[in-house]
Amino acid sequence: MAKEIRIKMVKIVIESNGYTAIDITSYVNNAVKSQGLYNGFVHVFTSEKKCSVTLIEYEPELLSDLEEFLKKIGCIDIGLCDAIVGKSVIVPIVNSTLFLGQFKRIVFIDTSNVAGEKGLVLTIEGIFKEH
Amino acid sequence: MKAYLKSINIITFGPMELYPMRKIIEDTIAESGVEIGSILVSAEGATPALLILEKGLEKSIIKLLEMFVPYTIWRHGNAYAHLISTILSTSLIIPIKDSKIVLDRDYEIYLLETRAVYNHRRKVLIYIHGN
Repeated sequence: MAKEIRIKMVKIVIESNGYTAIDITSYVNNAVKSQGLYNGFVHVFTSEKKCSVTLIEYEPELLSDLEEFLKKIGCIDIGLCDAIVGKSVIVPIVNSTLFLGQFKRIVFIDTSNVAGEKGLVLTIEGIFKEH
Repeated sequence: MKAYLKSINIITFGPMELYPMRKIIEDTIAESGVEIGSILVSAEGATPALLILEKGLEKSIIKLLEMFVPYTIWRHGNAYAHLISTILSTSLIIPIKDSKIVLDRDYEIYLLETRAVYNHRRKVLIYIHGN
């Protein structure tokens, strides 16, 4: 079943209020589908200051718990949460579907307190549908 | 460059039990025929975790996680499981050279079952790319 693979890159811009967690799963899903990736993976990365990309269930109480955890370890005040939570995630794509499970979402976390447009770079690699 | 995709089911018993995956990963690389490249391993769901751990430190990591992320102080029901999953990550990438993972024999690759479950089916996806 070995087939030739290709790579595509997509940039996404989202609006952030500067201190928030945004579910970006549908943006990533749309990008993967519109590019026609069948099997492979998507790497979702942000180079924005004090911003992270992570995988977590998008549920208000759990997001409060994550905020509490980050406060407890002290990374929010010193602007180091992106080093702890990470700047990127990799999600496999199987039959054009993100391999996440029932509750897991791709979430953009902003602790910069700087509102505005924030960029994400998606690197999509694998077997694409023929056009 | 070629791609090879495989889905694996692992039956787990939790909470906080580690399941060795190195043998499965090495066997899958052999099946793929890839000599040089990388392997992406990803666990489905928002509560498991994947980790590379030095053999003999299994009890120590569980103790450390239980201290760092206690079971009961959170708002969301099983937040401890989600937070451990988010912090440790549900995916890893390991290089492949000479048809083998570039990882010392003293290290194991584990799936961590965080939840209090019995006979729980966990789906793990393996994506190998290379030549």
